[in-house]
Amino acid sequence: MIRLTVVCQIYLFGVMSSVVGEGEVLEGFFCPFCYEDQNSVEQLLTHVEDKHSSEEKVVLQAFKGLLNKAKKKLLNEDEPDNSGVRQRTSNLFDDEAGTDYQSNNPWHWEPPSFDPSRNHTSLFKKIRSARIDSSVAETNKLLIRLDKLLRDLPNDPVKRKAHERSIVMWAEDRDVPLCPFCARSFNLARRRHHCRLCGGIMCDQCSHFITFNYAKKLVSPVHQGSSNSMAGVLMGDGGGSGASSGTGMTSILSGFPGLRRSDSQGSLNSILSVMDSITGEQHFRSCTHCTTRLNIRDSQVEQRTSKPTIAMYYEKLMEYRSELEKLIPQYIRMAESLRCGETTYALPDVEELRVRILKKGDGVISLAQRIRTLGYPEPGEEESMASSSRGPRQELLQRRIHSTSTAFLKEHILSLPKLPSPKELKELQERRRMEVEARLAAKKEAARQAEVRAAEIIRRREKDSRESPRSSHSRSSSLTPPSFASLKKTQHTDQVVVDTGWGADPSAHNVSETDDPLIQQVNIIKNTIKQARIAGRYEDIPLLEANLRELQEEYKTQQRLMNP
Amino acid sequence: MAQRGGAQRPSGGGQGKICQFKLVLLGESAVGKSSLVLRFVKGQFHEYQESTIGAAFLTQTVCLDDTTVKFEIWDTAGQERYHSLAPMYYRGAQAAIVVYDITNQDTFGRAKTWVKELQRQASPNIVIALAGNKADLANKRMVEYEEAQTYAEENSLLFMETSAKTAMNVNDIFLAIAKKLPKSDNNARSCWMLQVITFKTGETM
Repeated sequence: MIRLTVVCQIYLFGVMSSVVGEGEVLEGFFCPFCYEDQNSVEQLLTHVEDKHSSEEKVVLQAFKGLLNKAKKKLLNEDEPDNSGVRQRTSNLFDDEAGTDYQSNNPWHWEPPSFDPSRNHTSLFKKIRSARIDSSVAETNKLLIRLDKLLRDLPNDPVKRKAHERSIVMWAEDRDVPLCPFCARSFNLARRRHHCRLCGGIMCDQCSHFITFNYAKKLVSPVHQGSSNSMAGVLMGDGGGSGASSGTGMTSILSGFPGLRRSDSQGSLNSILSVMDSITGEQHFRSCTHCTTRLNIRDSQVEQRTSKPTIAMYYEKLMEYRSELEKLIPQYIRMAESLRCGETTYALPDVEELRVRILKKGDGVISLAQRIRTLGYPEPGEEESMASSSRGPRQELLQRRIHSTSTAFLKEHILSLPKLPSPKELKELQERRRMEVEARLAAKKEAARQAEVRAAEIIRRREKDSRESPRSSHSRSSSLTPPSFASLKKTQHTDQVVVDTGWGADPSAHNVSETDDPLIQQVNIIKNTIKQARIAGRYEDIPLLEANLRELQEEYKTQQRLMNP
Repeated sequence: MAQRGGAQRPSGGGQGKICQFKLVLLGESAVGKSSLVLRFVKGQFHEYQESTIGAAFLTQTVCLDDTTVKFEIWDTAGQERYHSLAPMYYRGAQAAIVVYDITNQDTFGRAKTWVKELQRQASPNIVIALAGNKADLANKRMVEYEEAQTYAEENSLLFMETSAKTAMNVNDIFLAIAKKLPKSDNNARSCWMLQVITFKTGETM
């Protein structure tokens, strides 16, 4: 196996152009050890086999060294400046330092004057940050101008123009004979228009329009990136601009997250360009450069503030899951209670909870499915962007989310206990009632027997006491019943208030003050029941319902008393 | 309802037993009944608590050793027009907290009438606690601690001065009530009988 690869390398080596001397390039099946040309692969193989078999180990090194030589040559030509940061990748050649390269000794290479690779990151970073800085500064300049334009913008077209010109110097008409974007000359039909942001000139067709809403969105403080050094300035300005257009400004600012710029810039332009650019109040004219810059900024901020779809799905999924984790134990408790034939919970309530759980489970499934297929181009839908952004790690993540969710559901939803049917429930309750009755009867029987025994004891004692003058009967009757609580009052150690408190929100009761107190209370209780159901406090509902019945009963009695 | 308050919940899973008690709050309006409950149930305090209409229902659970005590709390309105509702709520109650405001002598007088009403008309073994609320306003005190304590002792009431604002004694008064309530299943009578018997048999031996 090793030999095979070596052979392959030799073969490769052979066909490749090999750099031998300075400026001398040879081609053919050269032996990497002695530089003899062997005319074919077979010959080269047998040659190496025969003459250099003991030197195989160094073949790799030799080959590498040769490649590096070639690299050095290339680098030398491309980058005359070789003082940059270099990174050593191998020290293989250091041992051979000092031997003569020109001699036909192939494993003795000249010490590499260069390292095989160099690090360009710092250079790249330098250039990149310079570009980013200039772009950010440029964008900020536009934003500040836009904000100034928006502030105190007069409605009158002439004044507005003056206002606009006071903020941005407009280019002189005579300096621009041709539209810089379409290179057509200006005339009566194709008039000069100024970009309100940079003052440049273009024709109407090459103009873009920044609507007020879009502009306000761009300069609004919410829109500011946190790293932006201009944030403070713009924030102050954003607040001040509220006075400008009067109507709807504040509402637009506050309702900003809902705002989405329409993507159909083209159609927007076509509509707006119909309007007179001077009297039209809805936009600023802008050139392609400025518009592009602003659009880029907008999408950057959008990207920074908006979460990726998968994160949103996942958050929703986890929300469902935690709700399920809360609801399921409650449901199990309720179902068990029903199975025991208790009347603590009403069957419809439990059924409702079950439906709620199943719905949440469905939600989890569909979300997990959506996460799983996120990024797959769906038929009929173009999602080339998404599919290209989906790397193997993300795919793995998506698959894992899906499988954990399914496992969770399998474990919890499929094992949900079944509810008894109303008929079964009746039977269960009947059985329980009988059991309870039986127990009560047994207890009563025991109590009766105890009483009999007590009576007997008392009789016996009385018989005994007949001899002694002191009556124990009087003593026993004078016994005050020992307070059970005080007897039980042992040393309690730690008591913790469990934070499970619940109360209905009284503000939601909306009862009118004029009502009869009883009617008010009926409404309050009804509302409390509703809220208890929402809060999942099912165990309190029967109690509240009992109170409601009591109140209604009371109300009826009252009515009867008032109108006999 | 098969099981009223005080009964042990059979389905109370796992550790210890769960007792459920009905507790009612009574007292003149604006003494801080709702604030007291809000502090106990939700740990909150509102400087401007709205006046209660009718009666509000709240629940809270406390742990006493191995017993879990669940309070179903009926916070009644203090205004006179709602007085007619009160009997419905103290009728089946195992515990009551009568609240007065330590900065207002009249509310203490009203508290005494509530206690009297409870003693006459509520269940005979109801646990009554007297709470002198707004203890944080001690500099405006109109009802002396000793006066209230003496009254409480005479009527065998639990007594504490509380402050919903600073949370002083709020949990304590509820815990004290929870301790005093009988935590056996069924009512205490059969157990009491048993005690009498053992007492007597003990005597014979």
